Amino acid sequence: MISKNLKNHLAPRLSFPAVFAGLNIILILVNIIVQGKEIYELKEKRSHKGYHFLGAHYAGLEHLLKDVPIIGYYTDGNISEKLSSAKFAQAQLTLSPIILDPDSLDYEFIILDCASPKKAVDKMKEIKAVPLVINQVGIILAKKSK
Amino acid sequence: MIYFLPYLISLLIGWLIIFLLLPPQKQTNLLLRLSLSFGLGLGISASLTFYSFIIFDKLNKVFVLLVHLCLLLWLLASIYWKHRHCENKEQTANGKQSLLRDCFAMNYIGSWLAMTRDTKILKVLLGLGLIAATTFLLWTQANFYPLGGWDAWSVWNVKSRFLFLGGQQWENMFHPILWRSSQHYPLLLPLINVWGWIFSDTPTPMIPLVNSIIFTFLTAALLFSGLKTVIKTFPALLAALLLVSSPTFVVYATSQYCDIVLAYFLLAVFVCLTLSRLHQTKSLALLAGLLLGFLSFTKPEGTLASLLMACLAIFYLSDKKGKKFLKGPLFISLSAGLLIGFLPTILFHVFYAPANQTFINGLNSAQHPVTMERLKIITMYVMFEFMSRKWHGLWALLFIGLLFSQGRCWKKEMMVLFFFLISYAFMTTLYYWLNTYFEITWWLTVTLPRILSAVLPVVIFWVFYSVWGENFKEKLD
Repeated sequence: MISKNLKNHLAPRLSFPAVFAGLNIILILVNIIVQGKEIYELKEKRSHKGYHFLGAHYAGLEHLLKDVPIIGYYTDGNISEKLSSAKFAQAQLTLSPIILDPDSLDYEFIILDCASPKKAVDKMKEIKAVPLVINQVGIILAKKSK
Repeated sequence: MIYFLPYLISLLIGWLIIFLLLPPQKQTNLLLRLSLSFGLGLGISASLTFYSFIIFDKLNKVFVLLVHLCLLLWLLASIYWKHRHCENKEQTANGKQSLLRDCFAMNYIGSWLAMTRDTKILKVLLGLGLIAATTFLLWTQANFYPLGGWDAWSVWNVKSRFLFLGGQQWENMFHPILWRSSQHYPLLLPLINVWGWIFSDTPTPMIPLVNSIIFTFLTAALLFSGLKTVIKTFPALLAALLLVSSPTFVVYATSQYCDIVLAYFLLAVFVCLTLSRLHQTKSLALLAGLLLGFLSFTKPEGTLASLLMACLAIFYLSDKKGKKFLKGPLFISLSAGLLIGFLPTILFHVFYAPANQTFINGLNSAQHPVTMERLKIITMYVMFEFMSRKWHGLWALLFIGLLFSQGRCWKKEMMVLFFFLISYAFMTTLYYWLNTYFEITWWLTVTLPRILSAVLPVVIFWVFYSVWGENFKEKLD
């Protein structure tokens, strides 16, 4: 009898599940605060500088490339770098199902994305291509002369 | 409204299949049925869309819609005939009424309304408030990047556009030039996107965004409702909140990657296997088989996970009374489900999938050999990732949960999860080590958090079931 009472007295008031539930509640609250803060900061950032999808620079070119399966893609940037790589990936998304080949210019149509018009003109002279369209952000769709 | 029609069709198909497989009296709640139905329906719709490419070599919208219509009619007819056969003559007098009531969840909705009258209004408001808050959170996070994260543009959404706009040239997406889009990856998510666009002429970016939100919501709902069948409501709710409150998980889930689809189907398989074992229900084993098939069609990690799970499920579902499982009804049901569910994956790998261009077998390569240093980096990186600040101690908490479970996490009900996670971790590590194509630190930085976020719901299920699992016998009684 005494040992039973003692056992009851000494038995932990808090069970493992209760402690675990408490820890979970704390983490959930921390996560909510962190997530709320992140959302607020991102909203602030977006209010100054809106969402910008680089692939939008290429929109509209697909209308000139009906039934063309593969075209060349030239950039004077380094495509293995993050920004150029992202730009290429987004261009591919915007223009798919047309395939963009960044490693070869042996195609009838080539997209040129250069830092300056002079660089693009030099490249077109080199590959014997003429510009078909130059859009507002300076992206050029060129066609090789036969 | 027209954009939501494909979702309604998928939900209805999934709901009717689950109704056919699991009569309403079986121990499943409304939310569990809904969350399983929606995912199952989307998986079926994606598979049917894929058959259009196999048969017509292009997306044939009329065929896809007709097959959906036929399936719907067949399901309704099957339910009607099953109902008529089950009822005796007296009951069939008002058969139509009860069929409608059963089939379209009138019973559930009625009992839920009755429950809300009995329980405090505060609880109902709390539930609705949580749903609203979660929807707001997911919608806000998803809309920060409406075109998704990196892999959304370079892998999943590119494939979706090839499938939708490519006509008979859709197979161009397997062209070697497109190696950056991982052409060998299975197509479940792109096909779900295509199904979402089926009534549209243009591939609006809204559909992949909505899909990511739907699957995140379904995963949380499935975690809550699946756990609710085996533990008390409060801890089940905590589990779901723990998942959707994690900033890292939510960012990955709403980035329009396939990892959230993988997470959903992995969890759905575990829930179905667990319930199938508890209740010895053939139909849940069949459902688990189907879902394993869809899991295998998500991405290579999903294929690996489904193969591991299929092997483990054979032991997991073995009869307690010593009957031979391989001849048992659960095994036959599981196999039937696997056969139907795996068909798109098998067809894809046999006829379409190109070789993995981003693989170098480090064991055979003199230029890029495997090294012990690489293995050390992988092991260390995994440890650091578990402790990374971006998870805010979530993995440490789950580890504490395992300790607090007082050994219940090793019981047979849970063992399958443990063996799965161990074998999955081993195979993934082996692949990281053997494939020396990528520089390992960059590769781990990019992919490991995603792998962890995909298994997170299942790990939470395991931990919470282990900590509060003693309650499940009372629930069954």
